[in-house]
Amino acid sequence: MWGELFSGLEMILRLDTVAMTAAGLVLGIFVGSLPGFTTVMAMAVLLPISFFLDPLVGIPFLIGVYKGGIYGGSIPAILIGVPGTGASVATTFDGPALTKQGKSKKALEMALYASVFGDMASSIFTIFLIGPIALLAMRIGPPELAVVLALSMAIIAATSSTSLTKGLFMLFIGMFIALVGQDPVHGVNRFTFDIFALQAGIDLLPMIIGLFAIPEILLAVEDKVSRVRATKPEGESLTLDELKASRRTILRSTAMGGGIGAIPGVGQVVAAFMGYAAAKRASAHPETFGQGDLDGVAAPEAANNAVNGPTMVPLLTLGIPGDNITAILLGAFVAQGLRPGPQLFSTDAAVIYALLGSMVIACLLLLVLGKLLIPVFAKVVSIPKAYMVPLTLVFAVAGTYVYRSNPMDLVFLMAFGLFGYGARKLAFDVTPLVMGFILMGPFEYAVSQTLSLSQGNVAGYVASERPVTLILLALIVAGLLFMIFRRKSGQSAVSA
Amino acid sequence: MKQDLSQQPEKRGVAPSTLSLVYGGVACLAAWLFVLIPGQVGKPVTLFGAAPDGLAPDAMPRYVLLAIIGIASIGAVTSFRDSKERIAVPGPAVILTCVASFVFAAILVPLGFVLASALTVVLLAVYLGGRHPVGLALSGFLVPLTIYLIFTRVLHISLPPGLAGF
Repeated sequence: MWGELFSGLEMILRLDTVAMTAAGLVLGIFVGSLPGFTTVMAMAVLLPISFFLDPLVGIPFLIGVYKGGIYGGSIPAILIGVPGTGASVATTFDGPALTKQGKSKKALEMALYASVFGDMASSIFTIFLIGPIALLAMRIGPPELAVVLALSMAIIAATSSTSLTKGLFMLFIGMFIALVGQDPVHGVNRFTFDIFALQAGIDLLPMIIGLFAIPEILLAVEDKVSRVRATKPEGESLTLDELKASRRTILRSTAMGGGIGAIPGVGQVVAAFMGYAAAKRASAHPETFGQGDLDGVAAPEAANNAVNGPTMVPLLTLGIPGDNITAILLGAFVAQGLRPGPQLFSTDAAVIYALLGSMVIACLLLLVLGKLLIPVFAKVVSIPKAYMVPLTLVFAVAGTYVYRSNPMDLVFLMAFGLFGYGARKLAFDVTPLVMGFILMGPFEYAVSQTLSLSQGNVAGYVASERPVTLILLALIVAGLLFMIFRRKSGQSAVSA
Repeated sequence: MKQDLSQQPEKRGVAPSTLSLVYGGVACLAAWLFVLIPGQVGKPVTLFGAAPDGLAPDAMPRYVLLAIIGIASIGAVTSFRDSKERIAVPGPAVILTCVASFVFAAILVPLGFVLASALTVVLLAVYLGGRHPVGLALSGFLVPLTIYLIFTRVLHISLPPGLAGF
């Protein structure tokens, strides 16, 4: 492990990697600072760029966009009370109050330091944790993999922010879309309707850009938001004593965010709310929360950024993306010829450590760029949507086209875009659909291998030789029943 | 933030909700696809008549389509009276944006990235209320040109040059 770790770090210390990570961070903070433009949309639109770059440049670029976007969302949340991304909703509880008190500079700096600490600590933790987990993952066979994939899909469907019915509905639709094209076992065509463009199946890129970017653009067009007044950070800088006073809050939120990040389907929004609630509960003066408490900014920001590192664990060890951001990263990995999963660690462990190392580099760059560019990004908040929406649209369409120069990709892009728009209108979450689409191929292959290995007696084979599979199956049933019970009793933390 | 329609005030009535119509439509579509399986899923190649190992190509489509029919039926029944409110019809701005994206795709290669972007961005920005000449010049020309130069000269990613030749 150590040899691969150091090789990976050597591979990542390149000027072009650092420069593109910094570019990704700046773009991410820029988009995150724009109310109504999400990190997911930015990553979807910028994904095609990574395809044309070296894996050790393109993927760190996307990681930069990811980290920058999550942090950037806190800027409008603090200055104007409008969260730039869902992850920064909890920051609006205390951020705007601090701005009203003339302490917006302190709030922005606290958000930056808490974000960098949460993100860096969780990324370093991930680097040391991922090796042993990958060793375990390498020992699992097709039956366990099939059940783990089914378990992940069930968790994602159950934790999607609407109802369980809606989550499962979208998951199955995604699974069906993945069945279009050639079957992975026998190579026969399925549901191609003799259309040549469907024979190779539906590509992930137009689907991702269509589902995540186009609906955001159409909703932004619909949303009549009045122009935001330009603003700038005010007041004194954050002092070391103020930062020290929030250290317990930052550490607690980092631990919570890190734990939540390792669970597929939960994500930054829940982490930020849980971090905020825990900080308020633990505070000696909880009545100041919501009135402009620096801990109220530090807690959600450390928690939502601490999610970033551990979300890579299920992605890199099992090939299971935990949320839509890691689904986009999976698209980048696959396009670069790297298929995340247990095998990737045996073939390209140094590359994996290099990419994880780039997460730490991105954190260090975020600290520097965030500190230097806070006044610039504060002005970005006021850029009218009338100029940004057409630019984003142009970039989404051009990005899809230049990928393969295939006009059918544009048809898929708009079809998925309109589907995603309709889904958002009816309060469906498209994340389970994307997960179903991505995981269906490996799932079908693993089930098929299990059937071959069992030689016609699946129950006997699993019970006698693969008992872990039964435990995992029981976990799926128990997890789904638990989710149904929680939703019925109205205590779902996710929908809160 | 995502809206939860279930939190809207419940209005009971005889007419089915939009959501139940969507579920019902998808259930019907899935049932139709299920019927089409024998014609739409190819047969695997067999060696000397022996059945191939593993999962049959039509097995997973059957399970998934049955699951869609089942969950969509549950959804149609449970959401039948959730809300009588109809989904808002997309406004002209949304329709125009969709049309603009198709037009942009059509003119991207013949006109080139910079000119096609300038045309699309300026027209759409003006329609969406952007009137400031500096804003229009920046978003409509300077940003696409900068993106074009960065992509083609720095990142070596090809973008259509078109009429302008740059």
